[in-house]
Amino acid sequence: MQFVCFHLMPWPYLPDDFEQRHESAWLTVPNSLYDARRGHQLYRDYLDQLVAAEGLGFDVIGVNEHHQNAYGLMPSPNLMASALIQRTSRIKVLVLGNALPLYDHPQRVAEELAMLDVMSAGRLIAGMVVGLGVEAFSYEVNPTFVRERYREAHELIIRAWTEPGPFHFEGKHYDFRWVNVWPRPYQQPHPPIWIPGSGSMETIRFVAERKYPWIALPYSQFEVMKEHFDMLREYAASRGEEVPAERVGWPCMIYVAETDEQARREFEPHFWYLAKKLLRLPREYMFPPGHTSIQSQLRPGHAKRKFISLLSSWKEAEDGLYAIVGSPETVRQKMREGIKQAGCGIIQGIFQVGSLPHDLTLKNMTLFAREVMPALRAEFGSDSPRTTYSIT
Amino acid sequence: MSSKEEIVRIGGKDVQLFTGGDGPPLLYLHGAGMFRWMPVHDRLAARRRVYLPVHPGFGASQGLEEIEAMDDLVFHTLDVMDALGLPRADVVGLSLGGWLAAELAVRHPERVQRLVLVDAAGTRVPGVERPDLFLAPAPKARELLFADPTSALATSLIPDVPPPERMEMALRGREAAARLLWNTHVQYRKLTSRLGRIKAPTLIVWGAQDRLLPLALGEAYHRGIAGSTMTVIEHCGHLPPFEQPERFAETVLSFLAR
Repeated sequence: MQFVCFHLMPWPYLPDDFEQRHESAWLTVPNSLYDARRGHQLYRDYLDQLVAAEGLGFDVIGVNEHHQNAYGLMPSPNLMASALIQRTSRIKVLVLGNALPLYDHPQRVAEELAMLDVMSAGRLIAGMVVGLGVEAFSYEVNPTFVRERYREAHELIIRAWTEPGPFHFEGKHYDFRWVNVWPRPYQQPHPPIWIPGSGSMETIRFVAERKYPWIALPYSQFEVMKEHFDMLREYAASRGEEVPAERVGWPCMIYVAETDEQARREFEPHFWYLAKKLLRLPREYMFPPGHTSIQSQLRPGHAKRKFISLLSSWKEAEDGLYAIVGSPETVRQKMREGIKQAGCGIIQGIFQVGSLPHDLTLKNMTLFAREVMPALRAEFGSDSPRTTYSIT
Repeated sequence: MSSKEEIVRIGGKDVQLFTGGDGPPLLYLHGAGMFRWMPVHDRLAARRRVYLPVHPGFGASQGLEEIEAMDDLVFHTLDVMDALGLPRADVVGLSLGGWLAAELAVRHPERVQRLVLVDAAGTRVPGVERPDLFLAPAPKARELLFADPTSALATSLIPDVPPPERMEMALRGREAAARLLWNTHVQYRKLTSRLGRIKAPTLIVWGAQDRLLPLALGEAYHRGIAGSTMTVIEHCGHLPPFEQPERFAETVLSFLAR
C-alpha cells in the first residue's frame, strides 16, 4: 500500500458571489482576482504541507498541472517538484503532469523530468497526462489531435530516456532529427510512470497495455470510480493479464478530526468552495470535440456519473463517498471498505481541499498519518517498513 | 420535389451524397452544422441539378482521419467532383463550405464556373472578434447563428440537447468541424491575401445579423475578389439558406442565371 499526499494548490480567495458573477473558475476567470502577495504565502504554506508529509511517513508527495484557472496554481508542476526535492530526502515525488499534447516540444518534458530524477537521486514518479478538455482552449491545441499527440509524445519521451542518442524520431505531429537528451534519467530504464484518467476507454487501454499504474479522477461517485477500476481489470483480463493492486490508485479527499461532528464542521465549507466555485466548469469547457472519444461519451456509465459541482446536499456527497470525512475510526472504516471494493494499492489522498486553511490541513494530515495510515498499512500491507518522524 | 440520398464509394471511402433536380450542375458545399437535404435545396433544385456531398467525418461519410487541414478537404472535393463527372461546376458554399469553396477557387480556378460564398469562414480581419462556437452552450449558439434565436427554426436546428437518436451524429459532426475550425487563425493566415487568384464570377451573400462571422469578414471577401457582387440579407444570421430560404434561393439562382 502506497500513501500519496497529493496537492492541488487551489486559490482559496474567490469572492462569495463568484458563482453569480462568473461562468467558470477556468479559462475565462479574470486573473485580476489573483493577488501575488497572497499567492506567495500560499506557495509557502502548500509546499510546507507537502514537506511535512515526509516526516509524517507518507510514501509519495504529488503535484499536478493545470492552466489558466483558480483550481490549481501549478501551471508548471516541474518547478514545484524541483522545490520539493530540495527540501526532502527520502520521499518519492509524483508529478501528475506533464500535459503532453499541450507542448510542441516534448523533448523539453523528457529533459526536465530527467533533471528531476537526477536531482532527487531517483525519487521521481513521472506522470503523463492528456490534460483536461478546457486546456485545449487554454493552449489553443486542436482537441481532435490531443490523443494522437499524447501517444506520440509519450513514445518520444520513453525512447529519449531509453535509447542511445542521438537518434531521429519520425512521427506525424513530432519529428525531431536530433533526439539526444542530456541528462539521462537516474532510474533505469526510466522513472516509473503513473497515469491519471477520467475513465475513458482510450486511457484505460493505454495504461493496461503498458502496465502503468492508473489513478482515477476524484470528482464523481465512488461507485463510478470503481466501475472504471473494473473496466481496467476487465480489459486486462481480455488480454490474459491481471492488474495487481499496486497498479490501481484511488484518489480521495480525506478529512480527519477528533469527532465526526467536528470533522464535518471544519471541512464542509471548504468542500463546497471546491465543488461550487473551483470546479464550476460548463460542459462545453470540459468536452471539446474529439478530446474524449464518441464511444466513451456514449457509454451508458458516462451519463450516470454525477460531477461534484452538481451535488446539492452533504448527504449526497457523503453517500457517494466524494470525500472521506470523520473521526479516525470513521475514516479507517470507510477507507478499509473502499480499498477492498476498489482493489487498490495506491491511496492518493488530498488533504488540503478548496479553502481549507494551513493549520487545519496540517492537523488533518497528522491525524491521518497517526491514526489511520498505520492501521491500513497493517491490514493491507506495506512496501517496506517506514520510520515515522514527528513534524517539527 | 424529390431528392435522392445514397452512399457512393470515392477513393475507397463512403461518401454520403444527396442529389436532386435537373439543369446545370450546382455543387453545394455544406457548413459544419447542417449536412442534409433541406427545403432550400428543393428551391435550388427547381432550376439546377444540385449535388450535396457530405464532407468526411460528417453524417455517414468516412475518412476524417485523412483530413488534417483545409488542403486535404480541397483534394477530397476534387475527387468528389471527378467521381460525379463534374470537370467544372457552379459552387455554392456555406460557412465551412464557403471557406472550402474559396480555397477550391483559389487553387483550382479551372474547376469553378461561378462561385457563391455564403457567410463563409476563411477571412481574417484584424480586430474583428470571432466568437468561439465550441465554447457556446445551445442557447448561446442560437444567438450566434440566428437573427431570431427564439424561432422554431433555431430551436429545432440547435436543440438544447440533441435527441438520443441524433446524439452520435451530432458528436461526430462536432469532431469533424473542430478538425478544421479549431485554430482557424493559423489556417486562415494566407487565404485573404490569395483571393486575387479567384477568376470565377463571384457572389458573396451574408446575413446582416451574423454574429458568428460578422459582416466585416464578408466585406474582406468582397474587397479581395475583383468584380465580386455582395448581397446582404436582412433579418438573417449566419445561415441564410435556412433562415431566409426563399430570398436566398432567389438571389443565388438569379446570379447563376446571369
